[in-house]
Amino acid sequence: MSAHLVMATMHTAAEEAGPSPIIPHPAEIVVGLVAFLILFWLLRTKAVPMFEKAYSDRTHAIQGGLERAEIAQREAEIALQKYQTQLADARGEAAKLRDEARQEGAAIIEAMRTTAQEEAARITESAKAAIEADRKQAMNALLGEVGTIATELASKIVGESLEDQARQSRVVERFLSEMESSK
Amino acid sequence: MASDGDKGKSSLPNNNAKASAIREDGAFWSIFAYLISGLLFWGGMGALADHFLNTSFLILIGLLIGLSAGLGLIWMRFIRQ
Amino acid sequence: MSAMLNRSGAGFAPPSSADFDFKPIFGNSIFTTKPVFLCFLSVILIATFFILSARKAAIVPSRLQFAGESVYGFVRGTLGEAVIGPEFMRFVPFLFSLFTFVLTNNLFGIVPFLQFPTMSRIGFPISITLCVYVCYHWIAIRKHGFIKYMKDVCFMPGIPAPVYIILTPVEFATYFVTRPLTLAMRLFANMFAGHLLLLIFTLGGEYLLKSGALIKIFSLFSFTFAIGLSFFEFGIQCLQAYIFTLLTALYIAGAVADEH
Repeated sequence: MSAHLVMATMHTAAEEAGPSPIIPHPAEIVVGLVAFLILFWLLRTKAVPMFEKAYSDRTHAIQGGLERAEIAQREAEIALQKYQTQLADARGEAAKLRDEARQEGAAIIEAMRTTAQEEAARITESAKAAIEADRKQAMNALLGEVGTIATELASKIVGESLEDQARQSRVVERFLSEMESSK
Repeated sequence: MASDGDKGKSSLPNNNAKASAIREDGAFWSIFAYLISGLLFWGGMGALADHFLNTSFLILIGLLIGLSAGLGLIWMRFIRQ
Repeated sequence: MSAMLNRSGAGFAPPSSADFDFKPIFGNSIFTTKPVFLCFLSVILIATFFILSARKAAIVPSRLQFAGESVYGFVRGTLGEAVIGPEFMRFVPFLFSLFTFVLTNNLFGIVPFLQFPTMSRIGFPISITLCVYVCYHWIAIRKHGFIKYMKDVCFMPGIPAPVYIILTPVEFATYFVTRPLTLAMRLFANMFAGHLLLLIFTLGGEYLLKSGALIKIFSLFSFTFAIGLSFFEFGIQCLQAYIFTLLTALYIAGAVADEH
């Protein structure tokens, strides 16, 4: 700047032809003021608001994009959570069903086993009773038969008729008690 | 100049560094202005005093006072803080 | 350039301040000189360019919008937000007009056929400096009130009272005289001197070209130098527009700041 000034003063000093350059021309001040204020008004009302609008639109567009992405992500997360809950529910349901089935099966088996055991017990019981009855019957029949046979055999062997009831029964009883004791 | 507030948020990433660099640019001219004011005012006072008292040394004293006033103000504005 | 045409052929007359004194292009009105036309031309050019480029305000800018936005964004960010701080948006239109106005009128100095920087006529720097001057004092007075503003300007806290006698006039002169004076003078002097330099080399080259055969060769150097100088001037013109707007922004920042 100083070099400029030196040059300028040097040459203005060399020839003082025109009016001094640092004396302002009033008309130029007026023109400068008017021109600048017109420009200021035009730019302030027409250009600056539009530039600001472009800036804020751009900011909003970027923020809007971010917000949209955020919403999408949130939705995706909700869907995932829902899916996972459903999956867990289904799993629980299945487990429950399985448990129930298992319990039911166990109950059925238990019931069947009880029935079968009862049946078996009942069969065994009746069989035992029948056998006992048969045995008693057979025993009674055998006792009578053995008594008759023995009496006949004895009368035949002894050769004497044991008509006497008392003797006869005494002999039979003795024989029976002998048999009993020998058993 | 009554535009609606400061709706614009910071559009510069390294705002602080840039701002201080720009302020330093401006500080140079403020320092220049203080020196000029000091020298012109107190130099002028000295010259006036010389004129009326028929002396010739007061302008030098005036210039020295102006210089120190300018430097003092520069020191207080830009260095003391 | 009427002054140039009046030049007689006898000897080389170096360019002078007379080359900055324009006669009215038509009529006798002082409002029809070249600088006045250039000044209004700049308003038309700037307004047309920025209104057109801002008109669509598209999210994805066209090339034109991008060009306009770059300039606007530079003023808004670097000169507005970075310097003034949170309140900057109120002052962006003013700074933006100031920067584009000064820059365009400066650049007229190297635009072919126009070739005159309007700001080398001191009236124009003075007029916009007046706007700046009124602007930053008005802001400060409205914000702090007249009395507190004067107190802030003239009496710096933390100084023994007698020293105020020395410092207060200097502070006052800085705020109310030196600042606007240097603002206008810096712009004017740079443009004036730059234009004068360009004139010296172009007129010199012209003169040498009219001289004898051997000397004609030197006119080539002169013209080449003038072209190189034009690029240098381009830098100066941009820088001066930047500094003018930057200082305005700094003064405004000082006015809106809580303490001086």
